[in-house]
Amino acid sequence: MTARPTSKPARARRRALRAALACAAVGVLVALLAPRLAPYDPSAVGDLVHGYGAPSHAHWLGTDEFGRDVLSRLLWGARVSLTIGGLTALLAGTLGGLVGLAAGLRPGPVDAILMRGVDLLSALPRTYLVVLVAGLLRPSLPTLVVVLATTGWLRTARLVRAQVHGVARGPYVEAARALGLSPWRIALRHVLPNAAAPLIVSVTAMVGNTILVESGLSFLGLGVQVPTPSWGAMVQEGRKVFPELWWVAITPSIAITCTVLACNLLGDALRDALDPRSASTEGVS
Amino acid sequence: MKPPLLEVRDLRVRFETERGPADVVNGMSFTIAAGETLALVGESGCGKTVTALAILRLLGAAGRIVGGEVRFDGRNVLDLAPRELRALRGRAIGMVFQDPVASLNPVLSCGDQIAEVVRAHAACSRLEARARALELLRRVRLPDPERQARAYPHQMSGGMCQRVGIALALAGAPRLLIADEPTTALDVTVQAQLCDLLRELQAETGMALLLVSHDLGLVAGLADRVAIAYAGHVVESAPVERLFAAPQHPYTRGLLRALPDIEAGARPFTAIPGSVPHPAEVPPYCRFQPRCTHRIAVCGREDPAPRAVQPEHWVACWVDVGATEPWTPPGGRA
Repeated sequence: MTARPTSKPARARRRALRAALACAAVGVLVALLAPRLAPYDPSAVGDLVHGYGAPSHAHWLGTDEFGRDVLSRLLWGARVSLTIGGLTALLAGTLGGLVGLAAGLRPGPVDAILMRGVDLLSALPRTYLVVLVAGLLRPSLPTLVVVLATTGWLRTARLVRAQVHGVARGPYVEAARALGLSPWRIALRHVLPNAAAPLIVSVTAMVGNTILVESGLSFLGLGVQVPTPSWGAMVQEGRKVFPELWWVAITPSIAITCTVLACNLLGDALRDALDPRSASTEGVS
Repeated sequence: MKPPLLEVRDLRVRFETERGPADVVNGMSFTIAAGETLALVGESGCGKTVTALAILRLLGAAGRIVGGEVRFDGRNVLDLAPRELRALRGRAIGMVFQDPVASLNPVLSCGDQIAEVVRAHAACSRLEARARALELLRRVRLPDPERQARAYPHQMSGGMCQRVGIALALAGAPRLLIADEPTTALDVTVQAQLCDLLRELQAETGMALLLVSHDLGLVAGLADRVAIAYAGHVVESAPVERLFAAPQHPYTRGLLRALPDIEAGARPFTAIPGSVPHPAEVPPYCRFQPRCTHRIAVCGREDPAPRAVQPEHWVACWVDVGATEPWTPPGGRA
């Protein structure tokens, strides 16, 4: 007998998920272990005379303007980028998820007020807002996270609301109501998990997107401040000497691209994996 | 006579449609005694499902109850506060739905879903709820309950899902079970099994059953009494044997004549002329009169008041069809 038609895509999906999870795990590990992995102090000013050292045995990825080890700065920068990306996505995902859930479950005035609020906030240009706040306040990691999160939850709220709207009319939600479950239980156990797929995809993609925005801010000098290593700031520093001294700008750029890509792939893989209907029927039946 | 467990009196439910307000349920009345099985029978669109939902006030935003009473155990359900309503749903009245697979939450295992409802209606620990869920799965004769409790709805067949649906409805130990077309989505052998299961469960628990169906075979197998609904209200009500043996309303007779009969061989179906009116365009007075072959002048002028033909058998029709046209069951079968 040949394999069931569902088995192959299911296996491919599992493989994609494992690969994406492995990538993310490597990223998180690198960030966590940066102090141990980094061969030098990322802020230690090295040989100023011989700044911009080319990749060598001592400095695998070369050194920057101040003779600081690029590899060490890259590893430490992963901590900053992933912390900002992760915290922002978590905060914005929670806020957007709750607003979307409330709006989707309570058609009428609650929905109208919440969604007009979302519309209003969406009309403000996010980049300018972030630049404004980051410029007014002394940019630090917590302020950056708060600013990015409070401006980043709107799309998530819309997505979740639309999904909740569809799920809440489903027969199993009506059945849960008919069985006398409380509105809170129905919202959290029956509606939210079935509307969670776009939320999860949106939050994981947001990690990548936030890293991108943070890099942009750092590039403009509005991100975390020197001497904290940040990928965006590293690209900015390297820009001045690109392309002759390419190693300063190229490596953080590659790090940003890979991280964002990994986040997006992880989001897609999670969406497929979390849907029990798309999973294989092996095991129980 | 026993006092009724459920009494629906003159219920009216209105929906706003493109063709204007439509009273999908209009003057629906029936009673169910404790332990009794009433079948509410009618074509699609006659308001039987809406009535079932209205009893538990599950109509949502689209439909509004604009009149009448639903009394359960003497209390008007339409006056209950949200908290009292939740205690009614699942605990006093259980409900089984038409689409068994779609009525289960796809992301929760069957055992978890049942345990959740158990805990919603009785103070007990997680472990006790789990044990109770297993016991319920055993009671609905689900094979290998320990394993199926861990299964998700998509891993089970429609018949198995409906057994889980019944277990869910029984989790609060209700005194009335509403089953809305419980077997329509299932194949015939499974239908027969579920019919047996419902009868056995009723014998074990003594609960009453409101069976909403257009499947007259299921009705004949389960019901004590039958109420025939047409265009939003009941036109005839009788004990089940009596209804099949001596139907009085022209519409009831039309329904029974439209049944296929295995013994009569290839007999052409007798269809009722015309079609069910749109709920917004129900004719005044006797609602069946435009399609009725027994129509007389008064049918289009005044509402036919229900009249008793026998104790417990009443019909809402101006014409004494039973006297003028003796009933011959289709195919000569009783």
